[in-house]
Amino acid sequence: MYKTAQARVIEAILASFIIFSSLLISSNYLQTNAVNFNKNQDNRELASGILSYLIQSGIATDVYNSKYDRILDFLEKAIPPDYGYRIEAYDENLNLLWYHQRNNFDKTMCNSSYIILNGRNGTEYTNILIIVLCISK
Amino acid sequence: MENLNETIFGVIIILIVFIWTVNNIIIYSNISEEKEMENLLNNYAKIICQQIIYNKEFKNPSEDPQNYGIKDNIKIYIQIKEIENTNEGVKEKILFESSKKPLINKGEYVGAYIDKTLIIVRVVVYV
Repeated sequence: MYKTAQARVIEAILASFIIFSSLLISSNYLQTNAVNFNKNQDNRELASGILSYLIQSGIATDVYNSKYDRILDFLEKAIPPDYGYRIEAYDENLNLLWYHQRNNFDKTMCNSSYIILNGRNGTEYTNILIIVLCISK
Repeated sequence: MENLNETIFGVIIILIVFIWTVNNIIIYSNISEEKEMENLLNNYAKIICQQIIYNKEFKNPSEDPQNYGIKDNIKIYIQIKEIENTNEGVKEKILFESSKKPLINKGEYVGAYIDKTLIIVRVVVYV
C-alpha cells in the first residue's frame, strides 16, 4: 500500500509536468497564430509625413547650422502631446550628432522613419546628414 | 497514515495544477478578446483616417461610421490640425474637432497629408 501511494505522487508530478509543458507549447503556438500580442499602433506614416514636410519647408536644413529650435517647435505642434517622440541626427559615419526626446517616449513601442540630407537650397553638400524620427504611443 | 498523507499530497498537486491551468486559460482568453477588439478598432481608425485624407475632407469630415463603410456600432472622434511654417514661425490651426472625447475602449490612428502645409488627421474609434 505504501508503494502504491508513492506511485500516485510520482504519477501526479508526471501529470503536472505533461500539463505544464503542453500548455507552454500550445500557448506559444496560439500566441503567434491567433493574436499578435506585440502589435502596437503604426506611427510610421506620421513620422514619414512630418519628415517630408521638414524637407519641403526647409526646416530640416537647420541641422546643418546646429539650430534645432524651429525643428523642436514644429515637432511639439505636429505630434499630439500623448505621443512620445525622439529625433536624432547622425553624420555619414552614423555618429550621433544630436538628439532630443519627449519625456513620455517609449523606445519599446515606437515606429521610425528617416531622411538623408545631402544639400541645402539646391546646393550639394559634401557632408551628409541623416535625421531619424521615432514616434511612440 | 503515511499512505493517506501521500494521497492527500498527490490530490493537492493535481488540484493546484488544475486551478493554474483553468486560470491561465481564462486570462489568455480575456487578453485575446481585448487585443482582438483593440486591433479591430485600430484598423477602423486607420480606414477612416485614410479615407478622410484621400477625399481631402479636412474641414467637415463625416462622423458617421457608415459613410466609411463600417457597419459596426462605433463612435468616432476626429481632430484635424494644420501646421504651417511661416516667416513668423511655426503656426498651428485646428481645422476640425469632434465635440465629444472618448475615454475607454479605443483604437487610434494618426495620418499626415502634405500640401503647402502639413495636415495632421487624428482619428479615435471607441464603442
